[in-house]
Amino acid sequence: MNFLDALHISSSGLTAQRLRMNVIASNLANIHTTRTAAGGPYKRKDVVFAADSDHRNFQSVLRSKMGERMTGVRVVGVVNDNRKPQLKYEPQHPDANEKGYVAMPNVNLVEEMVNMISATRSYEASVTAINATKSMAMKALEIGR
Amino acid sequence: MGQGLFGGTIVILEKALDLRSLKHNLTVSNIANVDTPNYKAFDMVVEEELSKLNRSEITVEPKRTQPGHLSAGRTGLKTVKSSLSSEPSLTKKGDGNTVDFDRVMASLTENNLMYSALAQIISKKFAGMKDVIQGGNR
Repeated sequence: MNFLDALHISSSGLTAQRLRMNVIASNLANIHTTRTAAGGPYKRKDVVFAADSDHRNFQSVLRSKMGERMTGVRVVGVVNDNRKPQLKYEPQHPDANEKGYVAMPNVNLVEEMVNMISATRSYEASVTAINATKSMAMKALEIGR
Repeated sequence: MGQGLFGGTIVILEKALDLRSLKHNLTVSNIANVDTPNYKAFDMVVEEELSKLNRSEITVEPKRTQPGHLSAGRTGLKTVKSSLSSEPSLTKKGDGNTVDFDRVMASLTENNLMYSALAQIISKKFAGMKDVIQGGNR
């Protein structure tokens, strides 16, 4: 059914943005982490989105072959940001090197805040879309009442 | 007979509702992919698609071999074309994504309103028929 498709697409958007938000939260929480399991300071993480046509059932395959381009979104992976760690002069820090510099995570506070706002807005947009879908479906059910 | 009762406005309204819900799906898909790199937004002009369909294309009718057969026309399934929407000239996101956020949200609202309007018109149409069947307000 058409409206259920719309709901699935919107909810894939919600899931993706929520995951992005989790990754941003993790970046912010670890902004001063100098020790990780992999060794060295924490590395900033980023999500990768890809347009995803739902090919789980016959109907969706048929429709995509007929040229209807409806795609949800999918997180294909969480990748490490490989920029260099920021060096900070802090000689009393236990992880400081012999010159007194500590390798701090490559997390930029301003960058994360901007990403966070962007994720929030996109999430809100998906919520609005779901509400619109709901009101349209309700209107359709009212025909003939 | 059947064609006269449900064949006129209702067939066109039905088709218009179909197209509106299809457009809704496209819009929702654009919104979900607002942060997907290299995603190309697409669009459909409902009025254009509607005007392209003529009457014989809208209805599918079984062949009548006897003159006494009743007609049973229903709206037919036809593929409609969605096209890539024109690239916004000023938004330079830098990731190849062509979703124009404001335009997409506006089109979502507009489509929602048009859908409601169409649903209401169909509703009223049926209510009018019911009124006639019951002999008006006696």
